[in-house]
Amino acid sequence: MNQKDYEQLQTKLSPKTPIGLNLLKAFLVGGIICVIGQAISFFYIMNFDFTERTAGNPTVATMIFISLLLTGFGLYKKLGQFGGAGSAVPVTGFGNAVISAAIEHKTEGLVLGVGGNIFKLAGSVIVFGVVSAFFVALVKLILVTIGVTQW
Amino acid sequence: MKRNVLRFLLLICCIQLMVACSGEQKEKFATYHAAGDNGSQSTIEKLLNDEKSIEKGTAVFVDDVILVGVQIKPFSKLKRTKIEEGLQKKFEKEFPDKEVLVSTDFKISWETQKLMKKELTEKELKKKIKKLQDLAKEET
Repeated sequence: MNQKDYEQLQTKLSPKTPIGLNLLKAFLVGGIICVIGQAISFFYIMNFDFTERTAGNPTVATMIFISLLLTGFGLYKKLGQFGGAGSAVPVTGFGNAVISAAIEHKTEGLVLGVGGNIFKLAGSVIVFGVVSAFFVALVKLILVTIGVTQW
Repeated sequence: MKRNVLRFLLLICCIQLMVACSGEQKEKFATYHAAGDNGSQSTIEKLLNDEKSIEKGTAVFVDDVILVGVQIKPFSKLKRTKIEEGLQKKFEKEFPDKEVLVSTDFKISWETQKLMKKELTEKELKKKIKKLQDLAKEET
């Protein structure tokens, strides 16, 4: 059997990914995580001296703490299996990436193991985030210089 | 079993959407003043009324300080800073000798509404307003 025939056979036999259902699940999971984040934000606004602007800091810290607990107990991966990108995109997904890398490399020591590998997954997030922020700022600079928009 | 759970969730979402869309008309503007200064009250109410993108506005004024907390309609939230700056300029033009703070922040408008419901002395009111003004200036 040559490669082309094998590929055709593989395409024919592998199950189709239910894209619609996956989208719905990701939407629901991501949405519920964001609703929980908003509820935590309101909790901080109403019970402490935080404004909408400043409440983001403790909210993110709390969300990452929750993600830490879920990752540590092995529950976040089940959520990821169900929700896909819905659990990976919010900040809890970022927290999960960092925390699970730390847990995985704990046996190799604190400095070289945990410290060296903790940003294994999150490193790309940070690199591409910074690069895209640079390009967005560049585009905005050009638009402001032309006069289309203001800072 | 799984399909039933998903169908149930979908039903809940649809019901939530229908319930959320029926909004009731709440009291739109309210002003509170410690010293009976009715002229300013009507001017403030007119200023707030003219701004179409405000859903609810609360103004508290004592002596030389005016604190205005507004809640903006959801679709206008994209132009939030512009609306806030515009309102601040309008108020400053109308009351040049007073210290005006206009805020679209939820905390400030919620606290201002709470101030209205409580019966405070002028001194306590001033202290609270000062605290809210400091809070509004915080960046992080």
